[in-house]
Amino acid sequence: MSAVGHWWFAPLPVARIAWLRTFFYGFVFIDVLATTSWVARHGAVSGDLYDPLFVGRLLPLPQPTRALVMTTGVVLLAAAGVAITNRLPRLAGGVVAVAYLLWMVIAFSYGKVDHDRFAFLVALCVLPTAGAAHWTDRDESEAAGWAIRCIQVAVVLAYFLAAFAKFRFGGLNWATGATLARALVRRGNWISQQLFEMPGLLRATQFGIIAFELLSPLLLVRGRIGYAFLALAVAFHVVTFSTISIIFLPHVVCLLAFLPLERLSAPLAAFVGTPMRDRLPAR
Amino acid sequence: MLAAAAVIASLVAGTFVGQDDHFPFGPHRMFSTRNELNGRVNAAQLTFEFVDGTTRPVAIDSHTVGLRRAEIEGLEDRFISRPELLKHLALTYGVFNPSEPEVVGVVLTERTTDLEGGQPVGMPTSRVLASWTRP
Repeated sequence: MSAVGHWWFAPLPVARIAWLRTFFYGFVFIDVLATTSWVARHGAVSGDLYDPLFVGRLLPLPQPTRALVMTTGVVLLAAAGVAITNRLPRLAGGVVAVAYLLWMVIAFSYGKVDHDRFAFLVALCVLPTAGAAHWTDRDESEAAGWAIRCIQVAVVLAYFLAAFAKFRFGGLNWATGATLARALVRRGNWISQQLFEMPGLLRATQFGIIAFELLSPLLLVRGRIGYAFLALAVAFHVVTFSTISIIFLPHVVCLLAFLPLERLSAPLAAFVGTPMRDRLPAR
Repeated sequence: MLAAAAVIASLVAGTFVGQDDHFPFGPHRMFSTRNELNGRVNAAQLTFEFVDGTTRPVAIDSHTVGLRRAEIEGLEDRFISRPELLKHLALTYGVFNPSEPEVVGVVLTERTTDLEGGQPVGMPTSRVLASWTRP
């Protein structure tokens, strides 16, 4: 197998898949009911304002109505409610992936597409493929490794390719413009008012964003470098949220795929009084 | 491996030749356009006229008109070419705010803030893009 294949399929802890499912399917509830609850209100918007995406025209998907939006949301949450428990991982997880994609088509077919969903959609598509998983599993598997690597690579690609989108749409001199100033004018708060006093800082930040995005493959480096970059990514999102009130939350949730979540398993097993499980014969 | 390669190829292609329309493989273009340091910043605004004769600006979000400001801005060309579509915003407002008086007129304006050296200067100006009054 090639070096890339070897890396991509290297076994990783099955328990991490179980934890990721709990966090990601749990986040579906937060996303639908709280942080992007505006999607559900598209059901009340006139079909005259429907502006279907390419995928909506290709399939073709029906124009959202109140009933369709409600049904999609209920199916999505019901399936996520099962999948969060790691029961029926392929069936429930598969339904979540399809229903969430439909939910996104409803979300983004009214004149504006958000760009914080790619890694999360990849995660919802690959998590079912890892099969059975329990929080107290001690095994590692290639299927778990493949799924986790897919999420990690999707996160890195989202950052890395965003730099090229800026070069394409804003030009190679994007960093010397007033893009952040525009964002502050449109969405600013009291913190951002202080930032207008320092236009040099805004431009330096723009150079910093490009550097951060181009260096994002460092997230895949094992050990200290990877964790340092992970901390930098979290800091980037916190600063973005505190200045322009934008947080790419589904993407931020995907950063969990870089953490050794399986270390939560031993405390959990001790807390509920069940032993850690060896599904496979010890190697 | 093939599936992963196909997804990566689609995303790379989307980044360089795709548009938002190609979601989820479109370019990750948030904040990708470049604003001139001495340019201007636009933002949409809505003003409603109510049946009781009052007129006031209404915040654009999903709780008022079912759509977010960036969505209204994305649909601006439609509202300009077919101003009667603004009536749908009035109807949706009625659905979400049943205790409010009925909306009988909608004006969509663009508020412009000038920048100098990357800093806002002067008072923002407004320009009407489209308007609708109940016949």
